[in-house]
Amino acid sequence: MNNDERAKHLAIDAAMAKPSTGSPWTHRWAMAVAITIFPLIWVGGLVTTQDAGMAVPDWPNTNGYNMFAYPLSAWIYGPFDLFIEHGHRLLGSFVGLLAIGLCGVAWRNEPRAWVQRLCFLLLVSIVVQGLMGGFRVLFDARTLAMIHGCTGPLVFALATSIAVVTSDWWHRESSPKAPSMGLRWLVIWLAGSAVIQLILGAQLRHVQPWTKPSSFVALVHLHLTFAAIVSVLVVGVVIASRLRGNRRLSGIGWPIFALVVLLVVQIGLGLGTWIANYALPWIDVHPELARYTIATKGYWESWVVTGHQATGSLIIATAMILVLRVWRGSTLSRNQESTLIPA
Amino acid sequence: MESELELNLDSIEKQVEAALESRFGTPDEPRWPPVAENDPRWASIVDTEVLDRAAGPVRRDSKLIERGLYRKHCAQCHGISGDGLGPAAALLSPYPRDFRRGSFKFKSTAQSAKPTLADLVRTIENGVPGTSMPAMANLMRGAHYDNDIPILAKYVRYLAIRGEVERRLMMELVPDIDVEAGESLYDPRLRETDPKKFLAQTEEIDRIVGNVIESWIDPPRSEVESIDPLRLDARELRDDAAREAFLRSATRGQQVFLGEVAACAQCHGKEADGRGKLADFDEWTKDWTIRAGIDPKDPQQWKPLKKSGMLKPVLSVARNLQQGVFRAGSSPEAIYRTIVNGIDGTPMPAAARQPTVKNGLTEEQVWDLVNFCQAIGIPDFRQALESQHEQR
Repeated sequence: MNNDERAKHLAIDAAMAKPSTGSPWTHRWAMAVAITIFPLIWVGGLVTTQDAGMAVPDWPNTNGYNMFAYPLSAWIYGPFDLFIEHGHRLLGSFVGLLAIGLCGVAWRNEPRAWVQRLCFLLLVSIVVQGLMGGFRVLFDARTLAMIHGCTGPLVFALATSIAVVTSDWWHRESSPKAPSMGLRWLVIWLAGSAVIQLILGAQLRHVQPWTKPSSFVALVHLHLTFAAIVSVLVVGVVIASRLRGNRRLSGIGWPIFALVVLLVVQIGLGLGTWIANYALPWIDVHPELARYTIATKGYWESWVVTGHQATGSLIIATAMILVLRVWRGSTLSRNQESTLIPA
Repeated sequence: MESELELNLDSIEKQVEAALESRFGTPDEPRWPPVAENDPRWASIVDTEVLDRAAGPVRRDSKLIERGLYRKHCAQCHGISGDGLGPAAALLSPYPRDFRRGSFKFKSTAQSAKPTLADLVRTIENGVPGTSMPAMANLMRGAHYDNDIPILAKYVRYLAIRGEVERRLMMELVPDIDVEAGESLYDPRLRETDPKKFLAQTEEIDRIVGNVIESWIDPPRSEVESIDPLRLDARELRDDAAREAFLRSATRGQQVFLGEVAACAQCHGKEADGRGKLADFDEWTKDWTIRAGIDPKDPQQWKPLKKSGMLKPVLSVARNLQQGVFRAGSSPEAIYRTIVNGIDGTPMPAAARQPTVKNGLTEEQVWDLVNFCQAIGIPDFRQALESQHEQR
């Protein structure tokens, strides 16, 4: 080992040993918010799957009651669509409370102003998201419901991002190598394509009954095209991460693995969603397929369709983790290079 | 009803639309034609609860009553007015039904007759296997949903009546009207300027409304002449003797199937696998093609119509009977009805039968054919039939 390399390793050791900045509670709260938003997205998706957006006719009240005082028995034993819509509202309120808590913790413990601002932005976006859900009911606006469905995963991605930038990895990590420019841009393209794909999916799920068949066909084709684009980009990220220059990058292994798994699951769920909504496409292959009858808003059907939407949100959030870690890696490597340059 | 639509009656299509709206309202605010409310038999076809619960946007009120059931469960494929042009329609195979033809495939009534309410309920409840028509039986679960399916069935009946009136106005009245000479099908402005003429117009429209509604009152049932011991249910054969009797009947049925009188094999194929030589275009797309003088085989002719909402002409595929799936029902009675009545709106014809047709099928032959249809879908019986056929 020559002197340059020894100096490099000493700098890495020093960076690794550097204590984390701020209290771990900011990260814990951010994790709590992100983890709670995911079931909220799932229940929100179920609201769309079951067409339950107008299951409660008023807002912010629930059937004339204060939302939080709605009788438990009426909620639990009421119609299923009311059960999930009211549940979505309660869970949304709980996430809002958690976000307020996160802002408080960040204000007390977080030394970085931009992270504090990010936490505040998350709170505002959750409030706006709640208001949008409310106005969707007040104006019976399906388009607003579609926007609400598109922005939900973005809020989830924001919460995930805060969890990443408040994590120990963000504070301690030092990167001896910068990710290649190709990888840096690939992950951004991936995250962007995943968002577009989710918006296209939301369009399909909130299609109006008077939409022309030709528009629906175009949407389906676009959705399939972007499925292919996202798949190619995931494969591209996997390949780029295995190239010599990127092999030693830390912190990106599990997000990439998770993306591959999520992509495979998502393709299966996408096919399942089509079958659940519009039947099997290949009935001549086997008599059992010809015997299959789809069920309207059936139990498994709802899980598959809603799971497809929720997995789309997970892909966006995971892609966001990857973007942050790759770009953080490049910043750290620049910092490290500057510390290694002899004065 | 002075709507914006009625102020723009320059085209005959707008006049038909205005006439329809004056009788049936809009998809958001439907109504039962005034002329039908005066007759208790006609009034029984659709009640206010049906229109109130099934039409309009999806929503539940504070008393937990859900509305917009049709838009929630059906409009995505069948379209908001039941024209079979819902958003997903173009991607489905077969295409979703256009209720406006008033023609339904799966029913217990005579050929060309309207289905009973129970027939529509059965289709909605059980769905249609191998197609995009889902089973909605799970809607029956829970006190809050127990009336949904009958309401949907009645609303389908309402849309079918509304749509058939629209079609018949176009086909029966429109051809006789010379718009350029100032004639009109329906012009509410005449109420003031020429009340006599306006009355004549509305009477003519109401005549068609009445005729269409009347066709839905007590449609003639298709009776099944059950012949013992030929009426056998393949799923309930108890002993070897019954199995042998069934196979003998099915073997005779195979001859009928391959014969020239029934001519089943021409479409369904000699192996009953749906690969016959004859294939016709889907009846439901012919309004845009054959009936409009357009060749469905020539894309140059029909492609420009896609902009107006036309679906690509597709072939009506004969069923692969080897699959053992009978969309109109698998009971011997249901198969019998399909053979003797055909399937409305498809190339499947009613069998020529004695004594109406001199050389037609006898009742015994029909039952043999029923048993062949059952047998060919069951692997053991299919093999036995194939080996017997090869020996011959």
